[in-house]
Amino acid sequence: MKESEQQKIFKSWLDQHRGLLFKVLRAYAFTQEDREDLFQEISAQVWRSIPNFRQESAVTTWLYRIALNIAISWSTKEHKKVEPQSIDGMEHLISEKDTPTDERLTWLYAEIKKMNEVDKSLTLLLLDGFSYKEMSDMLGIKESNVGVKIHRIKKELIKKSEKYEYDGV
Amino acid sequence: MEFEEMQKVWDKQSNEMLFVINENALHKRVKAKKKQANRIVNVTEIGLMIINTATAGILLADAIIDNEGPYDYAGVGIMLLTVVYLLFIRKKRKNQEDKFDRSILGELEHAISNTQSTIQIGKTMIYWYLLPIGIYIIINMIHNEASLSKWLLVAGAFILGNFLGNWEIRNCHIPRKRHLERLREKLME
Repeated sequence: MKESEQQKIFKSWLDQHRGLLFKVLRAYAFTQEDREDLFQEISAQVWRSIPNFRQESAVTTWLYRIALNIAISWSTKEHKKVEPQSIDGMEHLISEKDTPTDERLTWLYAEIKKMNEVDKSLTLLLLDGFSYKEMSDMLGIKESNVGVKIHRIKKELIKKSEKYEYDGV
Repeated sequence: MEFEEMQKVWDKQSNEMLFVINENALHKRVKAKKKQANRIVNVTEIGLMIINTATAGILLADAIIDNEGPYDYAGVGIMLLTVVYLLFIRKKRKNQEDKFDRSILGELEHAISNTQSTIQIGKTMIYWYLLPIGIYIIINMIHNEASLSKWLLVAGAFILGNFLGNWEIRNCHIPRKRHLERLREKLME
């Protein structure tokens, strides 16, 4: 595959599916530096994966799988502080927009942040409407196992949301 | 809040772009990253093999020039064995690259296997690199009746080398491997 072609696909994936990548960033990385670092790792892997994409799965499934794999593995590494001067003369890869967000969404992310890496992945996929079968393929575990975990996650989230609505915490 | 409502809240963010991407900077970094990843793996593995082969060469030259006994040749043999062992680990790692499926569990298995390879290389460095070199130096020092200060210096260097090597394995690679294994358990439970 020519690099120009790869670049074209990469750009169109980023344009169309950047929302998906940002969700993973928000769930797994909590400072500007960490988000930049994780975003860079995911983008590099997405770029490398393009020649292997055979359209057997949807682009969203492909991207989610890559982003979650990298995010889980990234979470297990100890991160070194990156010298800002070493990165393109302090150019930032991503910057946060100053847009008002729904308070309930902020609460939801705060709850996701507390989960372990595996539950985080499942919650993101669940909230984005993936089926048990798709989750099972992406995670490499049995559908029944996905079902058990999802049932527990849903139950806990609903219970916590009751407390949030009642106490505001 | 019911779960369906959470999903509605979640869906709303898909239309709101919370971040802006600097595409030029991203493109530059992705290309640099691609080159860097291959370079790091190759430099570590091939670099170690070159260093060990070169050391074996030096020991061999020394053994031929001095012609002092079989222990010099034993050092050469051990160094070459470490090269064969490193080649074996590299080949095993390369063969395993296509073995893992592309699910998250598959990637976790892959990461565990890579960390195991790093631990193995680290241990190889300590036991099969530091040890033969150490034995060789000690024999030479006995032969040359080295002074006490030289003995202390060499002993200190080996103790430090051994300590740092083990420290890296214990504090970086083994905890990472355990963390990955715990994740695998969480996924499977």
